[in-house]
Amino acid sequence: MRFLGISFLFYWLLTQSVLAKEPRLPAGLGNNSEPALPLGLTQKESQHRKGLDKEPVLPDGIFNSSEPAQSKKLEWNDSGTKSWADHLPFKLAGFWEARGGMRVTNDPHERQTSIAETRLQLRLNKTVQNATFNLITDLIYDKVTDNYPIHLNSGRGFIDLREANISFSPASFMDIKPGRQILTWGAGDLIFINDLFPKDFSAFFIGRDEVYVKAPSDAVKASLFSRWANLDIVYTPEFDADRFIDGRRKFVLFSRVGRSRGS
Amino acid sequence: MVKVIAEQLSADDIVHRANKVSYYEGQDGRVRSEMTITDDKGRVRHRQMIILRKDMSETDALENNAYRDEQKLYVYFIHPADVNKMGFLVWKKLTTDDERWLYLPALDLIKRIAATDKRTSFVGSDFYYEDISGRNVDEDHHELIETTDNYYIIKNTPKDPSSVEFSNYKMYVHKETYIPVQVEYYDKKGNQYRVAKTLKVDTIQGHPTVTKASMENLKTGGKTVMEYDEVKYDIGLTDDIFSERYLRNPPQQFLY
Repeated sequence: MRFLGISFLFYWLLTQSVLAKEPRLPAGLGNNSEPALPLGLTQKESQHRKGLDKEPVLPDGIFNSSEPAQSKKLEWNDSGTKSWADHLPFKLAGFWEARGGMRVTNDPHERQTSIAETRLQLRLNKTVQNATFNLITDLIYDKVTDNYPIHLNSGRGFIDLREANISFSPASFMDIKPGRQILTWGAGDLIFINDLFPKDFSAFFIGRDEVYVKAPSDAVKASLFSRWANLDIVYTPEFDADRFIDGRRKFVLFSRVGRSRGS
Repeated sequence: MVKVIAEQLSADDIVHRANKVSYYEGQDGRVRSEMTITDDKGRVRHRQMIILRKDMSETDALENNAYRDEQKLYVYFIHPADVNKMGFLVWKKLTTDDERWLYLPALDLIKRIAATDKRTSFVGSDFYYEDISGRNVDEDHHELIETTDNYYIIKNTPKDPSSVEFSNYKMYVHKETYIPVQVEYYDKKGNQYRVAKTLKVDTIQGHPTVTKASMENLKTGGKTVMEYDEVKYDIGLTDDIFSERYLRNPPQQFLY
């Protein structure tokens, strides 16, 4: 058992309602402020405005309340929203990014380029009855390390498998999630004081997106829910180490052996 | 007859009707929404999300403001990839600050949104968190400053001016439907700097519903248009969906 915790969701907040004197009437609140005509509203203005120029034009449909209108399907104008991906038997999402970094000073121990990588993240998602399958993987080409054999635990190589898990609810008060997953304990932004789950400090310091500060764990997570408290139990059969700075990208000093390493 | 009743309404009555029509129609609801965010240089970004809502009150009645009770909102992001599977949960309170959480799936992190952040940008748009979940009507003094053929014009002044960035805002509430068609925010110098507009209304299951709205920030030149699609009321959402559990494990049956 690597980790056991109870998360409570109790918050007390006080509101303070301080009565203050009313601010003076600002200029422009009187009678000369004329709201601009709303975008796309050219019809239905004449018979309802009756000479009142300063008030907004009634929007489309506000006088059709007697007719039962149906909410119509929007035409999604974003090319990424209605595409071939919607016809797949599973949900597919993802992104492609390129990232580069150069040092502005000369460092005898470090390379001039800190990062020169491109990655494609693919997310596959499928819900069958009560189980949801989830796969997130990154395909990476990185000129700095130039290292492509796959090593799933350290995330080195051209594949970084971020998530590969199933989640299901065997009882109304319980969720189970076995497989590779990102685990976090605590609510801090990037300050994980008591979070013992693996982190990727290398990603953090070379300037990858902040979501890469967490490294995946191979674990089983059971979550128990009740009215008073939630209980998360995580079992990690094999220790998952942090992805720490090791000299491949950043200069590091090994004080015990009195040696340093950089790239 | 309608006119006679209408003329007796106080500013508070109108504000409550506008509040109900904007945020409390039916017992629950689901909507698919597309945000188009345009900055001052004309660059466009999109956000696509599903919004689920459940009222704790079991009535829509206006008597004694019975419609108004605690409310829970769940926002699930679909598009683009950097917000995909992100969840946003709001527990709207009546007498204390609302509670808000954001779930970041890539970090498996539930982040609390501080009450003081309620008037900051919602996912990079020109809408504030508070515009999405609704501002508590008790936080402002309401004054009916004018009645026109189409509108009640309400001036709202914050009870605690230090808690907000505006000095007041003016609402044009449509007399028949009570939809706030335009809301203008004024800064401490009296300049209008932010304006919300209702661009389209549809009647869905008997409820007048805003299906297209915009928010413009006149200071930054940014503008966000929000379109609503697949609007459905009274779909039988259960209370447990609006919890930490379902933030981490989205309720698929209500999302797709």
